[in-house]
Amino acid sequence: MNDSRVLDEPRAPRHRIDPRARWYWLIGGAIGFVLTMVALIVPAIIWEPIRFWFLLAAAVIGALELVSVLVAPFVRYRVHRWEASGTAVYAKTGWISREWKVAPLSRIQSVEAKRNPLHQMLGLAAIKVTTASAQGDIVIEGLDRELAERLVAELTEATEHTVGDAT
Amino acid sequence: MSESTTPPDSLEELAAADPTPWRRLSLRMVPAALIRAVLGLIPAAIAYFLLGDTGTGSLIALGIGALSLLGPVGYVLRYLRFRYRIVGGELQVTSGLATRTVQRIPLHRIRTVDISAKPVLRIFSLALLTIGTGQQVESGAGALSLDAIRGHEAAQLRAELLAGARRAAEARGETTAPIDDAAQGEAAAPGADAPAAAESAPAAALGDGAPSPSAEAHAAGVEAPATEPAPPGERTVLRMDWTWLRYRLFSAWTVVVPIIIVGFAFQFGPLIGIEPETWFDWFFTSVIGSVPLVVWVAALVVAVLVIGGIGGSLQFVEAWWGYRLVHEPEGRYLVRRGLLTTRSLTIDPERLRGVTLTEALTTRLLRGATLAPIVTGISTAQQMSESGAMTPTTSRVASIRLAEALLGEPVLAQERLAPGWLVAHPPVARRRIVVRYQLWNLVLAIGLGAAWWFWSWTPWLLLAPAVLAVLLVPAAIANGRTLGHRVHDGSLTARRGFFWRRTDVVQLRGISGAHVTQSILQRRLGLASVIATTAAGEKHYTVVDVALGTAAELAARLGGPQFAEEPELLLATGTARPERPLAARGDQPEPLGAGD
Repeated sequence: MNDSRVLDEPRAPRHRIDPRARWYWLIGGAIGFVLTMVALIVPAIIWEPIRFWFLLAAAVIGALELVSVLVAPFVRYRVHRWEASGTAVYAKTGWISREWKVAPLSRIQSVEAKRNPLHQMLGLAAIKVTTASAQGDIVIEGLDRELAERLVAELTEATEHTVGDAT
Repeated sequence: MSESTTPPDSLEELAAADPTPWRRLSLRMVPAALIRAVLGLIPAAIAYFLLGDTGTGSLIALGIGALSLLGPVGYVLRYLRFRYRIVGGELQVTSGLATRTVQRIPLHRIRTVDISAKPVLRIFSLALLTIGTGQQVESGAGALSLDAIRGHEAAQLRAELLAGARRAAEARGETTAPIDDAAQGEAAAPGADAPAAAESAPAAALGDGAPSPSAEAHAAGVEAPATEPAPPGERTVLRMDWTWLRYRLFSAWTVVVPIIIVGFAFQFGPLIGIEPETWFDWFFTSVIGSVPLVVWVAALVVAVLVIGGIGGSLQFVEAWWGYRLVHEPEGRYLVRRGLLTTRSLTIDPERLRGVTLTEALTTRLLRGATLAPIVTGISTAQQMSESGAMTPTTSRVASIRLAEALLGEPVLAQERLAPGWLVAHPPVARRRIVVRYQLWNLVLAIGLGAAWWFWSWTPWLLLAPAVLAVLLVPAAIANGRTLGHRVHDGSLTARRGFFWRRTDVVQLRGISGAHVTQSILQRRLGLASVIATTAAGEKHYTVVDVALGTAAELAARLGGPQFAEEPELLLATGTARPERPLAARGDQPEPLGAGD
C-alpha cells in the first residue's frame, strides 16, 4: 500500500477539537476532584480513628489528581484530533498513552451524538461511532454542537450507501 | 436488528394468525426433574449426617435441601408453560409463569443449533437444544434453549431449523440487497473464498448462492427427518486419536488440579468436620520423622502426579469420548462428543473468520497444538462455554490440516510457520521481552525475600529466582524470535508468546476497524501495537510491539488508508459554516507529536 515511502507514525487526523473542550475537561475534572475530596475528608472529620489515614490519602490522591485536572485538559486539547471522510472516521486520542483509531464507513453500525449537562452548558457534544465489533467504538469528545449534529447526519447518510458491516 | 425479537405479541394474536399447533417439551422431563431433586438433596443429607442432629445442623440441612429443590421445581413448572412452533419463517417460543413472554426468532437469524445432554437427561433419552441467534450478542441473549426434548426430536428439529434458516437467508439474499457475508467476502477478499470453492464443494456452492441444487437438498433434508445418527453425505474430517491424551497429561492442569483440591480440603474441610491439619500433623510427626526428606518429597511429587494424571485422564475421556468432527452435506461442520454428558457444536463455514492456534510450552515440546475457530455472530458466553471447544489439544499436524480444511487455504502451512515468513518485530521489541521477564522474576524474588524476612521462610527459596534469571533469558529470546505478523492472501497472521504461544489468523473481510495504541513505555521505545477489531471470536486481535511506522502501515492495510493518506473528501467541515474557526484551524495542522 505504501511501499514507496516509509511512515514514521500514523498520520494525524485533520481537525482539532473545539477549544471549549478544555473547559469541558477542566470543569468535569474539578467536579470529580471536589467529590473525591468530600468522600475522603467528610469521613475523616466524622470518625476520629481513621482521620489520619483518610487525610493522608486525601493529600496524596488530591495532589496527583490536581496535577492531572490542571494539566490534562490542555494537553488533550493539543493532541486530540479527528476527521471524517467518505470512507472512514479517524480519531487520535490520549495524552499519556496514545491511540489512533479508524472505523471504515462500510463497517459502521451506528453514529450518535451525546450531550450531557456539561456538554449542553458549553454548547458541545461528543460523537460515538460503533461498529460490529464490541471493541471497535470510537468516541470523539469535545465537538461543537452544531458541527456534531451535521457530522452525525452526514455519517448516517454516508453509511446508508455502503454495503455490509463485516459481522 | 430491532426485529430480532419483536415486541411480545399476545399469545392469542399469534394463535389467531396461524393455527399451527404449538409443540411442548417432553413430559419425561418430570421424572428427570425428580431425579435431579433427589440428587440435589444429597448435599443436604451429607450436611445433616456430618453436623449431627443438633438444632443448627438440622436448620442448615433444611435450608440446603429447600434451596436445592427450587431448581427442579422451577424446571417442572417451566414444562407446563413452555410452547414452541415454527411458523412462517420464524421460531416462536412462549414461556413464563406469571407474565407470559413470547419470543419470535426469524429463522434467518439462527446461526447454530447445538444438542447436548447431561447424564440425567440421557437416562430418559432427552436432550437440550441450544439455538444461537447471533443477534444481541452483546446483551448475552444470543442463545435460546429448549430444555428438554426427546433425543430423536432434537436431531429432527435441528435439521428443520438449520434448513429453514438457510432457506430464509437465501430468500432474503435474492429479494433484498445482500448484507450477507458471502457477497461481502467476494468483494473484500476474493482470494479467501476461491480456494474454499475448490476444497469444499457443498459449502461453497451454498455460499455463492447457487439456488436450485441446494434448495433441493434442503427440501430433502426437511422431508426426510434426520433420524439416523449419521446421515449420508456426512464426511468425517477429524476423529478421536487417544494418543492425544498425552498433551492433556503433560499440561499444567496435571499439577494444578491436585493442588487446588488440597487447597479446597484445607479451606472447606473444617466446615464439614474434617480437619486436614490434624492429618498433616500426624504425617509430619510420625512419617517425616522416620523417613528421609528426599523420599517423602519424592512421594509427595508422585502422589500429586498420580492424582492429577488419573483425574485428568478421567475428565479427558468423559469430555472427548466418541469425538467426531464431520462436514455435513449442507456445508456446516458438526462436532459430537461426550461420554456421560453428550455435547455438540455447530460451526458454519460462512461465519468462520479465521482460526487461533494455541501451543502451550509443554504441548509444543510434544508437537501438539489446540485449534479454535474464530466465528462471528456467536455470543462470547457460547464460545467460552465448556461445549464450545472444537477440538481437544491434538497433534500439530492434525490442527494444521483441520485449519486448512475449515478455511480452504493452507493458512498454517509449514512454510508460513517457519522462521522468515512472518515479518519479524524490531530488536527493541525483543529486548523488551527479556527485560519484562526479568522484571517478573524480580517481583518473585522480592516476594520470596519478604517472606524470608518477615515470616522466616527458608532462604533457599531464593534459589528459584536465581535459577529462573538464567532460564528466562533463552525463553525471552525464543519469544522474541516467535514474534511476527503478516498480511497475506486476505488474512492477517499474528504470532506471539512463549509459555502460551498463540497464532491468530483473521480474515480481512471479518475485520471492522483498526487501532494503533502506544503506552508510555512504547512511546519511549518507538513501538506500538496494532489492534484489529472484529465482530468475531475475541472481538479484537493484537499485533504487539512493532515499530510505530510499521504499525501505521499495517493499520492502513487492516482498517483503512487513513492511517497513511489524507482522504480527499471530508465530511461535516465543508463550507456550511465558514465563520467557524474549527475547520479553518484544522486546515493547518500544527506540528503535533514533534517530540517523537
